[in-house]
Amino acid sequence: MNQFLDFSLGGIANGAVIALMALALVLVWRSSRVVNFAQVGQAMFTTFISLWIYEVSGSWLLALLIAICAGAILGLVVHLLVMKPVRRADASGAIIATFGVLIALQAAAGMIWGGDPKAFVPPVANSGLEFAGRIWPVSWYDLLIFAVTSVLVLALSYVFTRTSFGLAMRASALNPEVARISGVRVSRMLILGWAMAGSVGAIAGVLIAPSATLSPNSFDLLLVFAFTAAVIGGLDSLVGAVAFGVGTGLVLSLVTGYSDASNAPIVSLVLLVVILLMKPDGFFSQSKSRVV
Amino acid sequence: MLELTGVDVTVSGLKILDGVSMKVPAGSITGLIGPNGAGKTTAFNVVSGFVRANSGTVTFKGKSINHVKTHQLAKLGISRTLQAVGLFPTLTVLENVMLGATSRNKAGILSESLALPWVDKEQRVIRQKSVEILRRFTLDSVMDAMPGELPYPTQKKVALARALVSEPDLLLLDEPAGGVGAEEIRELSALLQQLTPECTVLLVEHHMELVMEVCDLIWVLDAGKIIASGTPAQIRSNQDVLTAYLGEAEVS
Amino acid sequence: MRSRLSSHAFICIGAWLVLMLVNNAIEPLMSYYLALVAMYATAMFGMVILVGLSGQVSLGNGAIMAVGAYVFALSYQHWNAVISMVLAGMAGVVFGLLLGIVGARLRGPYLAGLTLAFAVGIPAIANRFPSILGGEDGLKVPAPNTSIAEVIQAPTYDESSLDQFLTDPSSAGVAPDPTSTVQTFDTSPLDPGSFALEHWQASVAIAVACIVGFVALNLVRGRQGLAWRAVRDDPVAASVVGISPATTKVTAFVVSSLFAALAGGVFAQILSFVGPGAFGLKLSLALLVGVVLGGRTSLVGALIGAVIVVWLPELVGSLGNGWNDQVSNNVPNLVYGLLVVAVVVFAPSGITGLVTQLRSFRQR
Repeated sequence: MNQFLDFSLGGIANGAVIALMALALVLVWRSSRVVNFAQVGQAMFTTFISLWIYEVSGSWLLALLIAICAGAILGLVVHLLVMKPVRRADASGAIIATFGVLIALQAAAGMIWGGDPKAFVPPVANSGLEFAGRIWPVSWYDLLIFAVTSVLVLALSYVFTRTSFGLAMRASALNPEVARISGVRVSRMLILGWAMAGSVGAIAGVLIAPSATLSPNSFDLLLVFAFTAAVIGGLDSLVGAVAFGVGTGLVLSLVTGYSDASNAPIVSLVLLVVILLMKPDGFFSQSKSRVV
Repeated sequence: MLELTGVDVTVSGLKILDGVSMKVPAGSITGLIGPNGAGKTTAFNVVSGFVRANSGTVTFKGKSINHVKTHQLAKLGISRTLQAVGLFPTLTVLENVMLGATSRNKAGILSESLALPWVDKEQRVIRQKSVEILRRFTLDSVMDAMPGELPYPTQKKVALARALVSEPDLLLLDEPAGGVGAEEIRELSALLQQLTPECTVLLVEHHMELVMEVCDLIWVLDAGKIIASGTPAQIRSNQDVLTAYLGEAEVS
Repeated sequence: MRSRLSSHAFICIGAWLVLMLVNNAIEPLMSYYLALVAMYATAMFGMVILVGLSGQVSLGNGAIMAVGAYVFALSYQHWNAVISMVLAGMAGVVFGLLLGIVGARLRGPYLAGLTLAFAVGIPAIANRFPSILGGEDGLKVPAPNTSIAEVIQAPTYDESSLDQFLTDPSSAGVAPDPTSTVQTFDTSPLDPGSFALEHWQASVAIAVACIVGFVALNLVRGRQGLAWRAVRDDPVAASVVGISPATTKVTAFVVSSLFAALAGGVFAQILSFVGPGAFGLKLSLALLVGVVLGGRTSLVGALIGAVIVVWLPELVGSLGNGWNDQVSNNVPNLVYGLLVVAVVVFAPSGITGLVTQLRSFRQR
């Protein structure tokens, strides 16, 4: 039982990061009906930038802020230069283009920073806390991750549900034509969606980097996990992405704990297959398939 | 030929079809009319398997087709056109029509993959049939064009050719006169009359002149219910029909 | 009108003859590249059918290649190469069917994500059963004829060309050696043009590619090809003309998986080795990049794509003599990534599409 508790607690921090990345995927999906498979590539790139700033300045907070800005800019660039020009009718093309961006970003990062894994030293201790006479699988750094994630999720949900800006954003996602008629600037909402997603992904990247190592390919698995979480949540739902992101983290942590880390992608695949067999559109999805 | 009995369709709590019963006699041209939103297209979709009836039966040649999937209908001899034309944009006109003729094909994927001689022969027959029907529709000059390059009425003609090339027993036409000119409607009317009695036709149409001219039997649908049926003359003088259509379309 | 059987057979047998003559005339190193091109082409024929014609963007084919390669390697421990290839193909069909049954129900991005998970998950299975599948070390595929193999000292191939592709050099199955064994071949005692292991490997790869090409031609230019395109264009209209969208999509998965598994069997023989490192996400992405650049809907495009995927890294390598490894290793991928984006935006039907456009432009 203690072991179960340990594994579960250990999974929450990872789950929070998966949730953030899933959130980024959902933000892009909601704004432009595209799954941005380059999202982890963008996050990887901004994390490298952030690591560089961190090493130069020594300030983690500054590094995080720079990552947020860089993420927004990169999201914007990808949207304006790549995704916007792709023909709307070419659904496969949009998906393929995101993979093109992913490949290019990974190569560019490899050119600039090399392929060797780099360590990202956490700003606070990343070893288990001692409390009530035992060592818990939760570190100060994990607590920092919870804090950042919670603040971010709360802020986003406030923006989306309580502000007129959030309403406009939701409207343009659900029905761009109607939103346009009602005076919402849909193209601006698209840009904002991509920029926000870029920032959220960048935060996820900076947060996860200390727990793994940083290399051009090191976030590939995170993409699979985040996609799994986002799909289970229905791709449309912020709440779903967060809930199932944390859930996916928990399941993976339990699997890794009780068996072996290399099982994680297999479990993720099985999870995805089962969910998609039951609900081809995921849970919480509002979109309906086409009728004659 | 085709018979609907007590068909109910409810979509998210809304009753679209309410106990619809209607018959399409073999060899006839039967019309299904009604104001917008009456449920005509839904009735069509029930027959073609896109929408499942919550209760009631649909029979074709005496056999229930309630649970037959859309793509299996072609094999049974039911063919339909779509309101939105539904030509394949990246296939040429000839290829579009050829696909309509392949539903009764026997070649499986294995013999296809080896291009066995008899597969070739089957393909040639299909091609020939498709070219013939295009010629009959005076479309042979645009055989190699892409559908998007053609004017809308021509596209509709291609779609009709595609539906007819399989020599169906029952043809379901979803607003064939929508968006086409008077000349084409005259052509259409002549063609429909040529088709019967070998082929039975069920027609959903807003263009009253055409319906009144070609149909042997008309069913009128309003708010999901059949409110009248009869010959064009009977329908024309039916008070309920007039009421249902008031302000909707001029009854000629 | 000549029958399709004879004209397609003519094309494929002709291609086979020409390639075999070329194969016999070139040095072992070139033969090795020829084998890779033929192998990629085999897999990419399947990608044209799945991604181009049936419109299902899948990253699963690299994983299916792994399935084919492992089945080949396991079977080759007991039986001969032909039986092993047949078994590999059958395994491909089974996996294609399973993937298709799940995948054909899904809309674009869902399918891409599922197959992405598949591409990452399947190679991981190799690590789960180290006793059978050899874990990270993989399985050896012995050279076909020991006497030949001894003469040329059974080179252990690095995956240099694959490695440079979508690379993370550290994650490759076999450590790449810059002084590649392939180069030492030039100075091998054997005369260029004699029948080395590479020549044998290339002839296997060419034979498989030609057979697969024949089948692909028949399908693509027959009713099945029309059905795939119809379902991609408009599933509703397809079902109206009597084509089952579900079955047609699954068929595309099965056929492309068959091709991928056969390509995997060939790959196992080219590498003389099967390991999880060779079949990661980068292989799947390589297949996607190749067909997109060559032309998504054209078999000729697949051929062009296969050449690009094998040749571009070499070209960059030879151009980039002054660069350090960190840069030159990543140039091909950067080029691929940018090219893919450019092609999708400006020329969705790839190089073959550009050529067709140019030709019709000239005619006017």
